[in-house]
Amino acid sequence: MFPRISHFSLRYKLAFLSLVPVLFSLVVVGGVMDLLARQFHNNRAREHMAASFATLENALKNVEQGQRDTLASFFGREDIIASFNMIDRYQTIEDYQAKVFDPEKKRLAAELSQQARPASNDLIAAYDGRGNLISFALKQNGHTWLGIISYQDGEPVYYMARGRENPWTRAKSLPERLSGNLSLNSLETARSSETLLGTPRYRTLPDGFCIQTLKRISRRLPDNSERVVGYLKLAKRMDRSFIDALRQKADIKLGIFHGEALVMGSLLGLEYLPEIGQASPLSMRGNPENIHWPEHSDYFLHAHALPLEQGNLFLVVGVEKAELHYKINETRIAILVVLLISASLVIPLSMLYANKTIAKPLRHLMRHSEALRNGEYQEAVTVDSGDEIALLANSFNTMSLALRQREAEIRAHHAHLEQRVWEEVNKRQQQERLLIQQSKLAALGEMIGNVAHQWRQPLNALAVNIQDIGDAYDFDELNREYLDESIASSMALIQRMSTTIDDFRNFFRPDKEAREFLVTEALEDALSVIGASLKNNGIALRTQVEESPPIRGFPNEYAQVLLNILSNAKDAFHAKLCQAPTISVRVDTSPEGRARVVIQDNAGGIPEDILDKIFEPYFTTKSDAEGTGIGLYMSKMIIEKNMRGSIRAANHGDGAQFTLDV
Amino acid sequence: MDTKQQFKSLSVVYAEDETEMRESVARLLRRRVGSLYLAANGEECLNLVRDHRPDMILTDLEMPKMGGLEMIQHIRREFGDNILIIVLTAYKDQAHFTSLADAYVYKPMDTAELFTLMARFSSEET
Repeated sequence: MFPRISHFSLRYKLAFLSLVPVLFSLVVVGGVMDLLARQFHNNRAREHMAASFATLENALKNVEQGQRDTLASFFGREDIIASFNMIDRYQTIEDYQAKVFDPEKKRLAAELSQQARPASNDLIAAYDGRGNLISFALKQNGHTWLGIISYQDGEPVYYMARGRENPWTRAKSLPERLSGNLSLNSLETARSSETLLGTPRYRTLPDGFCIQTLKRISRRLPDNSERVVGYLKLAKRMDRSFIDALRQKADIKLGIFHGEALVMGSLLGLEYLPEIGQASPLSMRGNPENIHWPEHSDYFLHAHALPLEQGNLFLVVGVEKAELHYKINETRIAILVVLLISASLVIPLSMLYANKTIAKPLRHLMRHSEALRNGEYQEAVTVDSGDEIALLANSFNTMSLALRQREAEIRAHHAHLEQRVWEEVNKRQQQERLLIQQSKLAALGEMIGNVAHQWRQPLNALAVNIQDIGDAYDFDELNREYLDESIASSMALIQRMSTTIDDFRNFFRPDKEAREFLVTEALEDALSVIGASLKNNGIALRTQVEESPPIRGFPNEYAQVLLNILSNAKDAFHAKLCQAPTISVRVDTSPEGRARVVIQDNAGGIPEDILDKIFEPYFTTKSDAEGTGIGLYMSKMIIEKNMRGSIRAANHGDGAQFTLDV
Repeated sequence: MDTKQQFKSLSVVYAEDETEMRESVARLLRRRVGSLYLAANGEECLNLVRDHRPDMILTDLEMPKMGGLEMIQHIRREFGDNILIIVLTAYKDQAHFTSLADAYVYKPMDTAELFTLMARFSSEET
């Protein structure tokens, strides 16, 4: 069978085929648009930041200026920490560090102790230009402690005195509140010192940050030269509102670094710090543990150096990428929507086009094809699309035309064949009729021959008897006695001839019903018909009769079979002209207990190549006049179909042997 | 034609296997020939010929044990053409088998024809 076919599958295939490039190009266009949108948004973010930075820079400059302007007023205020770094006679900070015990530090510590308010436990410290603790004053339980720190090979050495008049002694450690905050060159120290500056008197500092600045302290020397003897460091604590103001102004998030320490901010990603480091002469690092990093945050960052006298103050600002992504996503969704709309327009259009240019002509062709299948030759298909389908239509038309011609030829041929067949059948029927007629005639001739043989002898005898009457008269022998004898003899002969007629009539009368009989009875009947013919043809007949079981069937049919085989044997001798022609008939019982009759002749046998054909109908070796090829076929039918027996032919010795088992 | 023709000098052997035929023909022959010997088949006939050296043989062709043809061949071989042989047969088409015979009478037999033949042969003999 043909596979199940949907009429619409082609349309979908074509649509699918067109869908692939459409989708591909949409993806490409989408990708390019996405890229452009991203670039656009990146640029916009950068521009936005640049604008924000300009604003921010102005704001910070103003902050710095204002700070400088009000520097003098900072002294004595609680939110301002001032520290003095006294360098004295040393030119460089490195030289200054080498000194272990410096009278300037003592003097500085005494100054600090005067600044410390007596009423409370107060600590006030001084640092050098790098933020190292150098001296401090501590009021505790009504006592004033002075302290200085010197450094030997990078390790701090502490000296403390109880009050200004008491001697200085080396201390094992600093007071607890300062403990752990000292280690030269360590980042922790740097940060802690800033924190110390930013948290005057160790009060808990509210959320905010410090902006500090340094001022050189110079002295005029006798040689009229001037040298820096110390630094005054000022730090102003700024509260959160300052950052918020900046943030709002610039519309960006920011962090503020000083030196290597993050002093304010909440946004920075560690991975952006190297980038910031490249942008400034200072390296910047924050301690991730002390900074609250927003989770999964991602920023476009920019570092901005705010120049201060003491060093650059760095502002690191950023725009959250998520915001950018959100905008990019918005654009992407817009792009996707546009693409989907165009796709949803393109696909039905392409389907429509495919349907019009391909599926429709194909359906048109299909209808013609179906018509052709049904044997309707329509007019030529017209497809003027000028493409392969038009070619297909042309090809179809050619095929249709060729088919039409072929069909006409086949019809003609068919009619001719039919005529021939009819003629042949007729001829065959005629031949068959003729054959049947011939076989009837042949049977009749056979019978007449047999009758002739049977009658010839008594006829001869009768002829002689009649002529003898005249002869007897001539020789005076004709008396009553002679006549009686002659009449009796003649009547006997006539009676014999009459019996022959009865025998023949009985033999060919069809059996009314099956009955039990002995094969010897049938053999006698057959021999009564053909015996004389055999004898007259000089064919010796030898019969050997053993005991055989009675069989059931039609005795005449069976006798006819025997007659047929005997008759064939007789004809075989007639054709062969052999010496001492003999037919042997043996009746006995087969090993299976059937009645067996074996008829054998010495007429040379049946040629091996036709041995398996002799039972086929119309097979004969005889000429038309002599045989029809029906005899053995009928014999086989009678024995095997009617009597459920078997008939076999074989060559045995110098003749044919037929064996009948019933 | 003389219907009472007699050939009393002739010695004849007659071979015929059918008893009735043999007896009927024998009755006709006895009235005319000198001596008549009857045989039921070719073998008997041959023995009679060997014993009695007849002048003439009348024989059927189809006979059991030894057919007429075989018997005639034997006789010609043993006795040459000295013995006249007349074949009595129903089969005209079998005549060519017996070119060795001198004459043929076809059955049903016309006795007059047979006697004419016998007369001719007996006169030739004498």
